[in-house]
Amino acid sequence: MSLLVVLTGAPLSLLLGAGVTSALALVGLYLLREQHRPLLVPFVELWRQKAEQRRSSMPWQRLRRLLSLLLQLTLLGLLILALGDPRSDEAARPGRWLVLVVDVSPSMTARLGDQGAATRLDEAKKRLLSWTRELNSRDRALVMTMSTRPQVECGWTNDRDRLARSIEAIAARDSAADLPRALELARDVLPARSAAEVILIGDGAYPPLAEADAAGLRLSFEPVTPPGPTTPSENVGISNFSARRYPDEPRRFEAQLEVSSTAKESAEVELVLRSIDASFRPRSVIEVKRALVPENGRLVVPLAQLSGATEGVIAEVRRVDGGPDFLPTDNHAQLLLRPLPPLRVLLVGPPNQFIEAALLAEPEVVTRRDGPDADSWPADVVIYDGVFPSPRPGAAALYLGVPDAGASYPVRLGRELKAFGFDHWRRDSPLFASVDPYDVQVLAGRALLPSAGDTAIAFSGQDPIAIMGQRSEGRFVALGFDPRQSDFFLRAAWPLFLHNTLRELAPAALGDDGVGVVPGREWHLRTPSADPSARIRGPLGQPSSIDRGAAVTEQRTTIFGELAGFYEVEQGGPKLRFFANYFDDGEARLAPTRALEARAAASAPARALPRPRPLHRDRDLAPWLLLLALAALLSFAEWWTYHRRWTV
Amino acid sequence: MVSSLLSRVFGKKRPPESAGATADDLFDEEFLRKLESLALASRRAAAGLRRGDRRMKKKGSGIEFADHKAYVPGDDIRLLDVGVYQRLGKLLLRIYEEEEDLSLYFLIDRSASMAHGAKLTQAVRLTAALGYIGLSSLDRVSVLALGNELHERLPPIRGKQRLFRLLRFLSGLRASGRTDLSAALRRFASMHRRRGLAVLLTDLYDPAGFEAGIDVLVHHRFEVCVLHIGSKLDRQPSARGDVSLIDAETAERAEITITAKKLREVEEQVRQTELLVRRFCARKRVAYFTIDAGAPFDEVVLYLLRRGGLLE
Repeated sequence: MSLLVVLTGAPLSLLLGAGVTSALALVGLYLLREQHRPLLVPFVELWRQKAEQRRSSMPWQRLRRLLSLLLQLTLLGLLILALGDPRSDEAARPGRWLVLVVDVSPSMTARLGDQGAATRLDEAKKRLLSWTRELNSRDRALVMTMSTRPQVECGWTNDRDRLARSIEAIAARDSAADLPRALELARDVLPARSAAEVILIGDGAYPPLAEADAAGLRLSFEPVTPPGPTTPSENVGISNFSARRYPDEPRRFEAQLEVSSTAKESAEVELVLRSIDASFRPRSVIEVKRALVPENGRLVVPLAQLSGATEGVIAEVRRVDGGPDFLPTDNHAQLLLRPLPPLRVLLVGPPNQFIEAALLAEPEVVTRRDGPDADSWPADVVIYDGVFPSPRPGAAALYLGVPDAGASYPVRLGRELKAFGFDHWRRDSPLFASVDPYDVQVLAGRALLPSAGDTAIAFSGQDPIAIMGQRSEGRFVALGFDPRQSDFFLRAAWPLFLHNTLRELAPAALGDDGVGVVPGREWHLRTPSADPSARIRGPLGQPSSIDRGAAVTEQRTTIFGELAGFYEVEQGGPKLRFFANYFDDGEARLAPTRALEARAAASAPARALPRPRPLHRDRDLAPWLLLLALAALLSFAEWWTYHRRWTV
Repeated sequence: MVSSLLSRVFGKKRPPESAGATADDLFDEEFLRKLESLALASRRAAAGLRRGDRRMKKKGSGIEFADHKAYVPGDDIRLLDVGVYQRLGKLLLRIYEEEEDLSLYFLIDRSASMAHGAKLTQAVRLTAALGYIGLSSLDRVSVLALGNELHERLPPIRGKQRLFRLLRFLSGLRASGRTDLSAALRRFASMHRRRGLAVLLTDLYDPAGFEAGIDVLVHHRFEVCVLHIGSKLDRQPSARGDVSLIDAETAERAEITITAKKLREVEEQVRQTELLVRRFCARKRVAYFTIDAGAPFDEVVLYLLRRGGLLE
């Protein structure tokens, strides 16, 4: 620590002038004070104590008179010195102008330890907070986050509380860190001061840094990963996710997941697909599948014949072999499917609570009972429940039960069956997806005789009891028995069967699959209408989301986003929904470095960026305050001793 | 004339002639009446005594029997009481009180310190009042001004008609010079063989100490009465803080700070000094009275008369 002291307050010349003038004035006043008022008394011995007389005769007592003057001069000197605001050489150096660049790329969400440990970003924020607490009064700091598009989170300030609030609010983004761009922004915001410096704090997982990018900057690097060879970097995550509805079966869709792993051994993972509701909240599980991802490799998992998703799906991957997975951010992905119109189901027949209850579980199904006003209602599927009028043209049909002779029925009836069941069925039929009707017991029914082009999908013995086919009125599914004559209604297979059947019979929906964008890029979106403005919200259902307006030109708008998730663009009534997924192998590799290097050229030797110089906050009170306190103490001492005749 | 003298002595200005009977005149008359009343009071105190018959404690050759004493060789055998010898066979001498006029010596300290707090004025007033009483009693009244030596001297006067001379002398006294009671009183004693009552009016501010001067008087067999005149201003000046004290007599300086504590210390010292003087006087059989310079002189005189021991 330097012992040199410099004055940071009033200039030395002014202090010297003021000091000399004040000292002269003080000495003059002191001399005046020494000229005591003469007071004529009759007998001066009356006022003298003998002890005083003895003391005053001592030689050093004559010096006592100077003590008061010395105290006064010391007091004056302290006050003058306080005006100069003396500081140690080290403390008086010019303040530092620090650009604190924080990496907020997805890799910063990697945990630094096992489950529950802090993330790299948490560690970075912790160090940032400790740094800002060490700022001196002359230091200034600016906080910047680094992703694809760096942002200034807190402008130049010395306010530690403001800096702390800004740092606490920093969240990771789903776009890669663009270090050259961050340095360019730092160069722009730095004032022309020699003491300005840029401190980069992150995991160092950046492309090689060129010296030209750091030119003119005093750049230092603070790694957030702990030292040592065992830096946690194993990661299993979704590296790609896509899905589409089948063109001819829009109620169904297929998906493809790509799972990558940086583990040194093959990792067993569990894939879960969930549907989402209109509010983008996860709803029900559509598919669960386990897979083995090769070590340090990737695995493509196709998922076919999926159904149950009206809005979109969320895919999640989870390691189930007990191995580590330090980056949870890439363990999920989302997408939107082509929107489907509601499925309009017309019920023909007496009230049937088993059918209606099963339909209640179908949120996208709109039901109506047959009646005079239902003729003009455009039904997609008609369920004929023991009643068989003329088929409704243009609508698919589900026939429950068999008619008496003469009734309209799409297939011919075979022999009567008694006490039968589903002996076997087409397991690949979408109608029996997740349905096992083997235990269904039927009291009575008829065998169905399929026509050419019809498909028998279930049998009792060799007799078809369920047929699916196509007629001029539309597609149909017919059961050779009335479910009321069986326990089919009472079984869990019934609502699933009805669910599958309605989606099988529903017509194809128009439209495209959901729009997908990539975080960290500009999103060019076609808005629902030509309205000149739109509001963009998202990621929906997440704590850090945006809700801002955007200008619309020729029914198109462009925005920039860096967060994965679901979004919507609203223009009054109509809405456009889209999603953003971020897949980056570089981020997923979690390859931290503790020494960031810069090179002038690819073949040039690398220069390791230095570590940041530590900050030293002035721990004590300002010296001028201490000087003032000392002056006050001296003044009090002078007053105290004066009245006790210690000083004169 | 009288008014002018009185004014000089008692500090009252003479009223303009055209002013007629002013309050000052009444005061002056009142003052004279006070003097008269004081003289009357004095006579009451010495009731039964004739003019010039103020009894001395001196035993001698008077005509009034006072006591017997045993004969020792060398005594005047003319004083042997023959009757007693015839009856008792013992040689006893008859002792008679010696009757003589009382000599009153007013020894006024007129050193420079007496000018402070009107102590000299009080001393002059008391001398005038007591002197008038003495003159009224046909005593021999002398006034001597002291300092570091014997200064002005009023030869012995007698009779009320000498009052104006007394007042004129007193009005001419001015405070100056140092104090050396021992030297001045030694000189006084050597000059006055006729013993009498020596009334010392002083503030006792003697750098050499008060004891030696009083001792001189006692040693020369004067009947001594010390009127210690003090003033509140001596110990409680109006100034506070840092002052340079200048001794009125020696011009010696002392730099001190007058604080409340210091004032208390001085008060205590004055009290201790008075106590010291009182003990000393009691030991020497000297009458001692402390008198405030600001007190009305007539009350002081009455006090002295009532306390006795003076003008008796």
